Amino acid sequence: MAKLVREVLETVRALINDEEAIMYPDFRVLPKLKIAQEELFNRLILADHTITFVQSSIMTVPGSISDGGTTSLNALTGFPVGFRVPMNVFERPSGGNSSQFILVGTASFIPIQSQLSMIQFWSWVNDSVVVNTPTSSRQVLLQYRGTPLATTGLTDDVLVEGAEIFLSYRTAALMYSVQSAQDPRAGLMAANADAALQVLLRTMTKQHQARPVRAMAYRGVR
Amino acid sequence: MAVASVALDRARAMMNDRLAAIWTDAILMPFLDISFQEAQAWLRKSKSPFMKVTSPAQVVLAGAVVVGAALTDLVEPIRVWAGPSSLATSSLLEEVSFIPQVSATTTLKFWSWTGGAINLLGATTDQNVYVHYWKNFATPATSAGSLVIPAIENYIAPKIASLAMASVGQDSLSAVMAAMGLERMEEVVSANRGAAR
Repeated sequence: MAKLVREVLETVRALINDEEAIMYPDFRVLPKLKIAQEELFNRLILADHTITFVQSSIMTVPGSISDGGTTSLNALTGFPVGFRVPMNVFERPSGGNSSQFILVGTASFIPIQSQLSMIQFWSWVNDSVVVNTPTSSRQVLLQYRGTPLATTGLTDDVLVEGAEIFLSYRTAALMYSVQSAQDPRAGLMAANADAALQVLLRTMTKQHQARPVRAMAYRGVR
Repeated sequence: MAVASVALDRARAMMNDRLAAIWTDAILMPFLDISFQEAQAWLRKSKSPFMKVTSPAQVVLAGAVVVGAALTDLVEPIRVWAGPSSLATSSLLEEVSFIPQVSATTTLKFWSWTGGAINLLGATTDQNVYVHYWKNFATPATSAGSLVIPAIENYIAPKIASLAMASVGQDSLSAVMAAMGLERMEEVVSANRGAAR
């Protein structure tokens, strides 16, 4: 399990010479940690890491007889909060079983065509996942790149195993930089954070877990 | 294997505080923690065999679709096997980006590493699952705790000193210690590279 928020905050305070939390109690450090977490997940999404891959729960697209209509999945009950970028959409008849899910085709824009009983196409426009409105209700599954909910409690874990190193340095850099942009310690901590992030990103493989992608010297056999 | 106090004492020597008048264990332990975790990330990046392990049997009950919650030292899975009994009679599961939308059968067939969890298709019978994975060692809680990994104190000691110096604004000393740590990291990686050359 990844480290707890409380443990990361203690490390941050050690890095900024305030182990006793005299200058920087939790409520002052936590907002910077959240910024660091956001940065981390943005980088993981950019790097296409599977830790950001999520599958939604089943949502229901209501049917309608308005020809040419579209429905935004974002407005449906059950649409995931941490959604960032769509990957795949599956559909099935309402109440069907899991093997009835079929892949919905993707298009830049929803084709202008007569309404069908199936969804058939989805597109990502205006930051919204839009589908053809079917004539009768259909159930959909959305696979997407997303971020977990922001960490809120001291006893929550930081979600990504090994990320506490980056998060500690990055948070310390942010703490220093809000005091003074000229503080050289901000740069030092930021450099440490960058190095830790590079190690983390290179350590985490992107699918094909058993493929030897960590092309480094001195490596052992897998 | 060295204990944590070896790294702490060396760090204090580098900071001219052999008697621990300023840099006590309590102050240095958080620096030891982050240095220890950093070193392990380097070793995993360098594919050190020391950081890999095969789990004991993880019982996955019929219908269950996640495995690995009990593996508290799991960082990232490499391969997953499953079968009705021992590892020797288990089958290698196929890794997929997402679990396919197909009906469960008597074997697990697929696994995916998504959302930080090892997800499974689920099976209609109980299965024993074995995971080959990258692991993480917990940081010793006290100065008497073992550092577990051979030669790791060579990196940790200068890194602790570097972080301690940085925390009080001694930037040039911190940079010297950090450079020394990086130099020593090659030795640590080399000491833990296993048989492969």
